[in-house]
Amino acid sequence: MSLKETAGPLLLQPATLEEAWRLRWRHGFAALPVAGGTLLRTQWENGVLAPPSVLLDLRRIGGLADIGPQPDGSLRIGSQATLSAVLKAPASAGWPLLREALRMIAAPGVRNLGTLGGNIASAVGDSLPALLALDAELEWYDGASLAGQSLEAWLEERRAGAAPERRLLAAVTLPAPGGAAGAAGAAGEAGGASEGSGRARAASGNGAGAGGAEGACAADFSGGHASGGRWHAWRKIGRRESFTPALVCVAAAGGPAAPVGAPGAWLRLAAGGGSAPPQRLRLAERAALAALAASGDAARAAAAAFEAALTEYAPAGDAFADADYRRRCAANLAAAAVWEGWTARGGERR
Amino acid sequence: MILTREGSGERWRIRPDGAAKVDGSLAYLTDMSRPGTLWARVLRSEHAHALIRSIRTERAEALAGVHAVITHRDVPGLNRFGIAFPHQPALCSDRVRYVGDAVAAVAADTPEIAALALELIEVEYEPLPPLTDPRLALLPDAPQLHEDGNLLHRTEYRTGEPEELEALFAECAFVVEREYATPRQMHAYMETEGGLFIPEADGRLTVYSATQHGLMDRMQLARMLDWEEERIRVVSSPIGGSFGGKDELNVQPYGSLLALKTGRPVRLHNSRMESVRAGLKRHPMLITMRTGTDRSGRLLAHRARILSDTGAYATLGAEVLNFSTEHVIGPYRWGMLDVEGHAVYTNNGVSGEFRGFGGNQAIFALESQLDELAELHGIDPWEFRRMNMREPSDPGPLGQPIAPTDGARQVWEALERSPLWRSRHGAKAGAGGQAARSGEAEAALPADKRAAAASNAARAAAQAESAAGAEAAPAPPPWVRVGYGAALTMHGAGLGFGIPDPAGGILRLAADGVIEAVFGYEEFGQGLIATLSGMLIEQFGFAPDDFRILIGDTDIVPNSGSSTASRATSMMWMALRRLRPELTRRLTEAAAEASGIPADRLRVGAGGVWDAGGGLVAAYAELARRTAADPIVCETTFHYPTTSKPHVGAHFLYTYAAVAARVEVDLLSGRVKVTDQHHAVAAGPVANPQGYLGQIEGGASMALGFTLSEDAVMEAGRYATRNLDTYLVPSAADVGRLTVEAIEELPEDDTYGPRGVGEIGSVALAPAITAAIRDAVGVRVRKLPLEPGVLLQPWSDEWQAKGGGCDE
Ligand SMILES: Cc1cc2nc3c(=O)[nH]c(=O)nc-3n(C[C@H](O)[C@H](O)[C@H](O)COP(=O)(O)OP(=O)(O)OC[C@H]3O[C@@H](n4cnc5c(N)ncnc54)[C@H](O)[C@@H]3O)c2cc1C
Repeated sequence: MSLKETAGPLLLQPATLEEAWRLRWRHGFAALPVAGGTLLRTQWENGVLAPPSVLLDLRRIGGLADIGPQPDGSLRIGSQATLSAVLKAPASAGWPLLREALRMIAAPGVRNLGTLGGNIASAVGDSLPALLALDAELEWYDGASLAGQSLEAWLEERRAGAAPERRLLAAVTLPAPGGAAGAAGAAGEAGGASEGSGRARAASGNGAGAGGAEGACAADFSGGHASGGRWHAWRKIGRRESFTPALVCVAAAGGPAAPVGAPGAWLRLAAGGGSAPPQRLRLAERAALAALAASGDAARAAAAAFEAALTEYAPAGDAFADADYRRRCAANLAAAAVWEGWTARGGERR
Repeated sequence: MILTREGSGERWRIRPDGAAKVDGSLAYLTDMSRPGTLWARVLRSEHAHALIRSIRTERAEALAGVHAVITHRDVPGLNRFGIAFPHQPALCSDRVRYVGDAVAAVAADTPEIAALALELIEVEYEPLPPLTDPRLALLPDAPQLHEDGNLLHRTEYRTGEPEELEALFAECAFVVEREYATPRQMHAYMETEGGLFIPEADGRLTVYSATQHGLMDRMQLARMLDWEEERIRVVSSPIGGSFGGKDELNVQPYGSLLALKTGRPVRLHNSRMESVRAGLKRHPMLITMRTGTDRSGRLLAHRARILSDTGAYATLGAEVLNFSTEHVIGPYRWGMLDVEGHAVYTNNGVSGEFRGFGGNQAIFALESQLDELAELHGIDPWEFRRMNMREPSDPGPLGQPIAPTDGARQVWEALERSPLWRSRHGAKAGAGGQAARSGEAEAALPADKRAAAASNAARAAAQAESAAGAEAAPAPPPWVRVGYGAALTMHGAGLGFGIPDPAGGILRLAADGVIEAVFGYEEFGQGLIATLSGMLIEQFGFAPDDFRILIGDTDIVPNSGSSTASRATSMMWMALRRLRPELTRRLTEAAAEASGIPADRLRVGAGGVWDAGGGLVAAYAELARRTAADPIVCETTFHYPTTSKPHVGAHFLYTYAAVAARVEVDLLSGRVKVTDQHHAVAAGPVANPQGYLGQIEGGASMALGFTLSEDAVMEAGRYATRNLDTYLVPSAADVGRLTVEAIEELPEDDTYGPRGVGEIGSVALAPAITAAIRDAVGVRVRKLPLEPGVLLQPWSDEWQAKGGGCDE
């Protein structure tokens, strides 16, 4: 314990976002937002970050921990919702990829305290690749209004070395689960940029909870009707099997699975882990979709994703795993996800 | 006998101390407090290596709430400690040799004030270049860390002249020469070092602080305070884990000195980061071995060189090296041996005693050599070990007489029969013979030998199924490779020849009618209390309420020696054997006097002394009243059994073990998962099935960390892994399935009873895992912990040869 902690920072507990913003403004942005404090605590302990003089506790802000389905089929998760709350919320069942990712963050005690907002705002949390593959949108408060920004765009700013974020994260929204993957699977989408290709508009067919990496055979999708064939994959590699941040994690969502090579295939791939903000692997997505369209062969698509991801993914190394290992591993995981997804094999994790 | 709860029947006893440990209600010594207690903090070196120019404490002393600041000037006696060789300064005066070296300590009203006071102590250092590479320590231009240089200890064991050995190597059909490197493993006990130190009204000092040998701490503290030992009372149990790490003094000097200086109780408890910074670690070792065989595969010549990084100070670094020197030889017959070891000082923390005690490193290297030689010969690795195995009457590794047992063959056979190890054959039947990936080591292999390590995806499914036994696992995906490996070992117990190794205990009938069992051993989670309870119940027929166990208090316990070196269970068993005739005689005589029934018709049992007809003749409480004038007290002292050959550290009693492991190597990430382990252990009678199983499971988990994830990384003499968020011990999810087969049979004339099992589970798993990795993917791992990057392979279309798609 250092003296600064013992003297204790000034603790501010606003009741609204507006008040939070005003308090933050008044303290010249020296006031550090704190949600669960679980990441901050490790940073203070490790000396990565000096304990701040003012803490802005966001947990008392009304409604900021809400988790609710929206009329358009999307899911809005308030930034103060704890990881456990998101996991337990019935409303999150339709986004099994997110649940899988959250279930592998830290341990139950930490998940009870740590928030999804904190995980996102850290720009290095393990939920981020999954949220990228789910095409998540962030809702920021800048003192005047709430504004949306795609997670991908925000992370690209982080990767480009943008100034520290001053806005407050209010919520994250996940589009309706791949209903659009089928509906929007219009000819011509395949091989094209996957922007919005999985974007939900109409949640037709797939019921909540459909799909999953575990036994992700197409047949496992509920009913298999309508837009069946949507798949996802989540892989996290750490230095041990549980309770450790990722060295590498890869998330993928795609469809349709069958018939292979059918027009309308779509794919989102993302990789993260370590101290660099996660990355959407656009080149790998395109390469895989093009290979699939050309050959109808998932193995070709996987190989193409592998090659592209190798050049595209730019992680940061540390004392425990260098950047090269992370890059090679991420490319492998991306290839495996693509191959399993489009061969509807799944079942990697037992 | 496979150890399970079900199979153990009523011998599976709930640990008396278990519930309170699990629900957190048990008060450890670091939880204790007294009214008016001060908090202490220790100022540790800023540098891995530096001269101290000056130490100024005035500003700290002036801070409100600070009651005392101590430096080297405040140590009345010997300002040095060390179990074997006292040369580590309690408080440094002129020089610091590692980042944990203590320079000053403070006692204050609150921990916060103590922390602030540390910042006000001004130490002027003159940094010196740190010596961090043990390979450079003995070079002439290396910085000299101690007056007598950088060599703590050198060992040597030879059975022939160097020229003879060279001639023998020249005759060998195969020679393998390799270097092995092992990590700086941390004990990672849950309870970090600390305690409560009380200056008593009668002028004595009470030390409530964990140790593995209370009387040793008392001696060391008395020497430091310049007191008679009897003025100090050390209370040392219960302990939240030690594994060797709390054997040596840690915070006791500061707590004691500050308590005496302030005249107030002083409390002190290391944070995890301070524990990492100051605490002992396992010796990292570099072991080179050159090993050769004759045409038929018999071991002919073996040369081993051990370089042990002992860090800044000795503690038991010499003894650990002795142990390694003995254990690089193993349970095998050799033509000629040439072993040499050096333990050298560096500025890398302090290495010291740790479960396995130098065996872990040695056995990893030796068993890896055997595996590689077997492969060169095209002989099954397990058969290769049998061919070269010692006979029961053979001398020990150092040519010393040892207690003869058939342990090596017993565990070899048990493993051979085990479903896990057998399943490798089933797996091989389906082998398609994919050539091993050739790593650097394989360049030297003849092509036909390379195939011996072949593995392929087709094996995987069959293997997974057979290994999992009843529960059929789904087929692993095509990028997962499965392999099997095994290793064999003998592990010495006790401190060895030439080192005082006292043992003993007391049984007495206390005034309240309870039998007291008094031993100088410590409970640090290993289940000692449960084991001793079980022995009292089983050997004497006592009921659980009839006795009380007293340990961990130097005011009451006899000198039973240290709770180390897998010795406590053996020593308690032997002590009870010695005490039993006298105690039963005195109890039955007292009952005879009370009842008029002849003593030879009476027996000791639950609740009291019984007659032949099954009637209770006298309860223990009554006997206590009757013997009040001349209480029944039985005491024994003896020495741990030792060999007669005067080779310092050579052992007499050994435990044998064979371990098989099944691994899954994920080529995508290079990560290895140990899915199954089988441990066959020959350690004599099982004194406590639950404790035995727990020891093997716990030891194996430590070995798993040693192999796959644990390393206290140092950069220029500073820890890069400063907490448990980066220093990773295995979690439950890493451990996989584990079975333990206990072989109890000992020769009929064996009088030594149960051998210890505290360490054996931790010593032989690493080479079994690396052998399994070799089996799975053809790569030999010789540096631990494993770096996944070595096993990761680039994505390959061929992996999917067995086809994808489940329902198209
Ligand atoms: C033992 C342990 C293990 C862990 N394992 C993992 C792991 O496996 N994977 C993983 O990803 N993480 C892990 N973490 C880190 C951490 O627990 C998670 O990232 C968690 O989700 C952070 O949430 P929090 O609410 O505690 O964030 P905090 O620590 O409160 O905040 C994190 C950062 O976000 C900022 N912030 C928080 N909320 C907002 C907001 N609404 N608007 C703007 N900025 C905000 C804070 O200022 C801070 O910079 C681990 C932590 C610990 C202690």
